[in-house]
Amino acid sequence: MILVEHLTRRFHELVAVDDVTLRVARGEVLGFLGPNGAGKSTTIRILTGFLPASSGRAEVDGHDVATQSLEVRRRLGYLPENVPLPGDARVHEYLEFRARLKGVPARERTRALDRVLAQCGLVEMRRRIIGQLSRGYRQRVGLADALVADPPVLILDEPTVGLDPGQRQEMLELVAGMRAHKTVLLSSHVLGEVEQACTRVAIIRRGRLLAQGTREELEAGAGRRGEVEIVAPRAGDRLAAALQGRGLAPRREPGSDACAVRLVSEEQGPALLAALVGEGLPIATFRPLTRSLQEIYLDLVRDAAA
Amino acid sequence: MSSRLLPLLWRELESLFFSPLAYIVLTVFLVLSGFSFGFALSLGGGVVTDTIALFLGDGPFFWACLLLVPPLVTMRLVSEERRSGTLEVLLTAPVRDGEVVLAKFLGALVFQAFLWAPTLLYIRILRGYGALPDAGQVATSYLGIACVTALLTAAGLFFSTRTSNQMVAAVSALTLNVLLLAAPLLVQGERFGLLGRALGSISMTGHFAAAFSRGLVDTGILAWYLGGTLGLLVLCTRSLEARRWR
Repeated sequence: MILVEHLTRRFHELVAVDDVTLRVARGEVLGFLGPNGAGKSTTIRILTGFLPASSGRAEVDGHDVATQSLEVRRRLGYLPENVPLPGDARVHEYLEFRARLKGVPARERTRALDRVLAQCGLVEMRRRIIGQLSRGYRQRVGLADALVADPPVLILDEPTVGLDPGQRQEMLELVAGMRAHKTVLLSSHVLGEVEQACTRVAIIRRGRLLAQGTREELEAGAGRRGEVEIVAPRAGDRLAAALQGRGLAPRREPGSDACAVRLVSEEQGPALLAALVGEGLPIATFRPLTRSLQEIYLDLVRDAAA
Repeated sequence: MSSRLLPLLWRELESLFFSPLAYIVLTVFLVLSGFSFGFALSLGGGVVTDTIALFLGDGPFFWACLLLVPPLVTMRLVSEERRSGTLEVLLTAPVRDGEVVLAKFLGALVFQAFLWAPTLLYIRILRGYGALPDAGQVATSYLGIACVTALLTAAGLFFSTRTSNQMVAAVSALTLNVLLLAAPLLVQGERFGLLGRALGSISMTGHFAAAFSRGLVDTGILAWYLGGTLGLLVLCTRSLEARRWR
């Protein structure tokens, strides 16, 4: 589990992380979203013990990152942004070095290496020199390093940057597959990826946490939960009148055949549809109005900027 | 020795021995040490102890090797890792900053021992020509080389922890080395008083002239090198930890 409480980090006058509180439970993949310079990487560097916090506290798997840094790092697999790797080492040599460094016992090392090489699709690349690998394979080596000691907590900073669409999909499937038995914090700019791989989302801007929760919770917080869109081709006026007649307040673009209306409960939907059809309205569309994570994210960031 | 020090040291040695710079340093070193031996033979006048003293203590080529090699070996040890970002990967593994510093220091020392090892052949050559070198003098000369190399390697490593630019690290370390060599020579005599005596007591050439090149072991001198090296290694560790204070 990852626990962050009122975490603040200042660099002289700049407050890079400002009173951030968040929690990632075992079995969760938290998508950590934010524009460049939002404070994602600084938060991650505090969690990995690379930087200390100015105030507040953080725990990884029950260990305080400030006072039990070595214990934290034993339980953590970390894939930093841009995946810095030594260019002169061979893949298997580097992973073996990292396994030794992370205390994987000698008798388990070969098995651990075989496991991560297979998991990350590196079996055929094991003897290649890292400096000669493509960006995608370097990313995989970084992920294999994060996984080699089979840590309970994973922190992945922009793991899909520089990958082609196929590699990106594979990486996300790999991360999604870890949900069941690991705690994962995944930082990304790409909202679609976060939507696909993460169970919860935290949005940060200028060091401050704007929102966190499941997509449904964020939607509810953003005020579109329970809205439906109804389209009656060439009968927009009649549709609006019928909705108003039932005490609802439809939103409609002038001249449009589509109305958006908020329902009191989800159960109200089928009854309303039946009633509208019963009145002879040509209903072509009746669907819950949802917003993409991107819309929610952009609204939150825009609101915060305002 | 912690279980993490060995893999760290092994990785450092791989990195040092597989870098092209290692072979440039090795070539320069072999050329300089060859000149140094030739110089010692020509000026030694057939006296074995004088030849060895010139080859392993008094000669200009000897000091060129001793001052130049540590900055070249240490300049990239931390600065390159900082520049490329691999330092973050290393320090977020379950290792202590001190273990990283110690592994890099020992790796650099082992590499330099590898550089100096062929110079034993020159001593063997002297024996081949019927000269019998004093084993004590040879041993203490190499002890002196080890002491100075350890001190200057720790200093070079310290500069490497302070910057992400290898050249800045190398030039800073070389400047310090030249100052350490030249300052006691320039500031000597009674008219410089306490400063002259203080610098005289840390004079590397003075240590060779007074002890190492004469087959003597002075515990005071050894304590200075040991203490200086340990102190610099502590500074290196603090310098790595400095990211936490910024």
